[in-house]
Amino acid sequence: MSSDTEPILWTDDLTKHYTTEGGFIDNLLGRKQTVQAVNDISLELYPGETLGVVGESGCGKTTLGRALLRLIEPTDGSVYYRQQSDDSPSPSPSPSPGGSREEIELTGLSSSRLRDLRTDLQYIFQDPFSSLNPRLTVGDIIGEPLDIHGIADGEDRLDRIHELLDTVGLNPSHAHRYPHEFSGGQRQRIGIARALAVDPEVIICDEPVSALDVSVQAQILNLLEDLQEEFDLAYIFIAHDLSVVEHISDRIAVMYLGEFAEVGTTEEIFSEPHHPYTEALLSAIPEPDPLWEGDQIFLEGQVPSPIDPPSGCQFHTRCPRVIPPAEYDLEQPEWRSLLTFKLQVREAEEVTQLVTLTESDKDIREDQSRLSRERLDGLVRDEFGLPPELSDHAAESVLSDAISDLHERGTHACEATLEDTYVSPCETNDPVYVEHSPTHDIACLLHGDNYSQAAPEANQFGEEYDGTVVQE
Amino acid sequence: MALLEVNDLTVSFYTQEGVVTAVDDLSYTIERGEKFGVVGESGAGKSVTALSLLRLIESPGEIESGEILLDGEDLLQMSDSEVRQIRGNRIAMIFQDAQTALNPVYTIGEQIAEAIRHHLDYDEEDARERTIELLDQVGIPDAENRYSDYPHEFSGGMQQRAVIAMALSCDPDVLIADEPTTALDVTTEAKILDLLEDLTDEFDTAVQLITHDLGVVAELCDRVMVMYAGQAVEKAPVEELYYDPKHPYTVGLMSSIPRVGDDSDRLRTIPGSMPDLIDTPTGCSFHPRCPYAEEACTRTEPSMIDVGNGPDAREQSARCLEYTNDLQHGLGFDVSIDEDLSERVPGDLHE
Repeated sequence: MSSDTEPILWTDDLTKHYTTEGGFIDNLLGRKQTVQAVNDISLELYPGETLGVVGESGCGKTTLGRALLRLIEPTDGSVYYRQQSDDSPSPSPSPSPGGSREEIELTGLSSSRLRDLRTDLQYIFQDPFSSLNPRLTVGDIIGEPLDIHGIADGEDRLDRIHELLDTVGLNPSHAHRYPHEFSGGQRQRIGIARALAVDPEVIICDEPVSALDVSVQAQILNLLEDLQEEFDLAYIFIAHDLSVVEHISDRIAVMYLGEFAEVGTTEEIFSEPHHPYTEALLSAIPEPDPLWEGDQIFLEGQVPSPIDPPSGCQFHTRCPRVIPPAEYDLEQPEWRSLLTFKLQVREAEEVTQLVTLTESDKDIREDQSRLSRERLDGLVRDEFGLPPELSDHAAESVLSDAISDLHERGTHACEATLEDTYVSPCETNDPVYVEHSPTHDIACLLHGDNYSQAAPEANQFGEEYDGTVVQE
Repeated sequence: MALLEVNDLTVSFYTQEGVVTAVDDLSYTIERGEKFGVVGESGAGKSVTALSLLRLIESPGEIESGEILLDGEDLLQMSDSEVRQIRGNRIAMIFQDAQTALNPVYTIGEQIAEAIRHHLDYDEEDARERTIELLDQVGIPDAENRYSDYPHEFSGGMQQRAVIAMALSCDPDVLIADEPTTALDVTTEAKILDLLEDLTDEFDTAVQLITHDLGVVAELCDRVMVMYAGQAVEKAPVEELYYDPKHPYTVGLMSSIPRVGDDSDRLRTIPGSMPDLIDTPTGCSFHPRCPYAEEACTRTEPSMIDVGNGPDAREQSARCLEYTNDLQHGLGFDVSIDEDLSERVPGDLHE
């Protein structure tokens, strides 16, 4: 590991929004939708370290990785890279504390300048099957970056290819073979050799092992670690598998809906305090131990659409620790259920979308007017895991009114009743990063000063609350 | 009598390069209501075994020999129409990729109702009722309205739930789940596994779970079979397999998983990769990758030997020359259970 304390690659509010391409009429009417894939991400990568980025599918991990290298053009924000200045003169030199390095803003570079910089910044792709050209021999795949950047030709080129194949643990005599003659693990090694060909400083690894078997996965992870030590590489390691990320990373960023929920060193991420999302992710890893009986936290619902992300804290629609409003004295699971009820009423057009009718309600299915107020009350409480009476009287009377509205005037009236009264601070306030240590930031209101007292014990959740059951 | 009994099953594929023996003389049994795991790397023959149970092996593949007894009746001797009465009815399957398992031009509800009408002779209306009930059981909100949604309107986790509902629709005796959670996120995976466990307990369905993820096996299964190059190399109850593995390949698999909380720098690996099944190594098929291989391993093919401790010795068996005393130096591994590793957020667990 290098002792440099200055980051080698960093971003400033990096943002990538995709605009959905509608048809001609949609465009005419201005019905464009924006997918907010990556929102205001600021990260720092230090020389020789591995920064893991984890999150569920669709959270923007890959978009972030590609935007970092401008494989896709960021919408907003900047990416900076500190280049060793003896390589080539930079058009906009700025003094850097490192002395021998200079700062370059990647986002403003011309494409030819950017291409030169690709000798320092490389990418390893997820799928070892589609990321290698099937018509080129392995030697040519690895030799291509050498040709493009004019690094070596003739005898030197061949030597370099053989050396690289040897470095990644492949037989140099296989240079004339085609990709289909190799197994998945070997192909991933070819991808790694190609990235190493230009002697880079930073490699972005996008799920490099998720397509591989466990025994091969271990080989590739070990190889990446060996190479890091040998060439002093810095990795950004994108993955969805937390145990893999834990193994290889020095620091980890947990991503949710295009934003970092928590950033910290590996030890900090895996120990208290947690962001509630991290906590749920950690609890869900299946442990290879039949006697292990951990509490799994099941997040309810789906990841919200990045087209219209939730207000305030983006995780509030699923968070098991969402903060109750100060005016009510509610148990955490009750509050979670109420908020879920409110969010679903917002989406629903009809009563039947909210509750599940059973066999005995056959007549109601045919004619909704036959649904009685009491029956609806029971169904709603059943569906959302609410007790027959809430522990807070004020909250109970609002809920009762809302169910009456739902019964008499439909979902929109019910929505209006709920919308103003049940409001979590998490819905209205954007969480800021709270620094737990110089390296550990959590974006959650529970960790700020205003609400830290409200932090409830997650273990209070009872079995009977369907929404977010913590299993024993 | 065991519910499902597979005896000496051999399946080969006749390809241009040669004959691939994907499943080689495989035998195992599954009891009623049991959760049976099949573990191995890609190419070990897990999926081919599963497809054989449903007689879904297509040309150039062929079931060469063996028998598959469901309640004593041999599936391999049945006529096509008899097999069709078994498929989806008594043996159902959950496929790895829910998106391709569902037909994109039929609604979710119709696809499930079709199986119910066909196998259980329900009329249109009753099949619909039953489908809605099933969708509700697998946790699809607003099942009534989602009945008429198309597969693309469901998220990945919901599609997998719908496929589970379809598999359970005729109350099967055996449910074959081929990597049911591999394509899903870890948070969704946990929910789907939990659902699968609850439902199969409720209906007392036997499950054959195929996976490469040892974490999933630990969570769900009662007994496990480890496969390598078309053969079973170890069969054991889940606890014995994890705490007292007998075959070097099982040990290799276990130690190559990165464990949360383990701070050793390097993962232990199994060198090399799965052999080409056209040209399987002589003797023990694992010997080119086995750290304890000796001269004898290249010549003698080991057989399945009972190796369990105590009264239930027959419960655990492994295919290694060590257990016929043919190895000179023995197996040099020992298993240590590191209590610290089990400590993981959120806190208190484990005995």
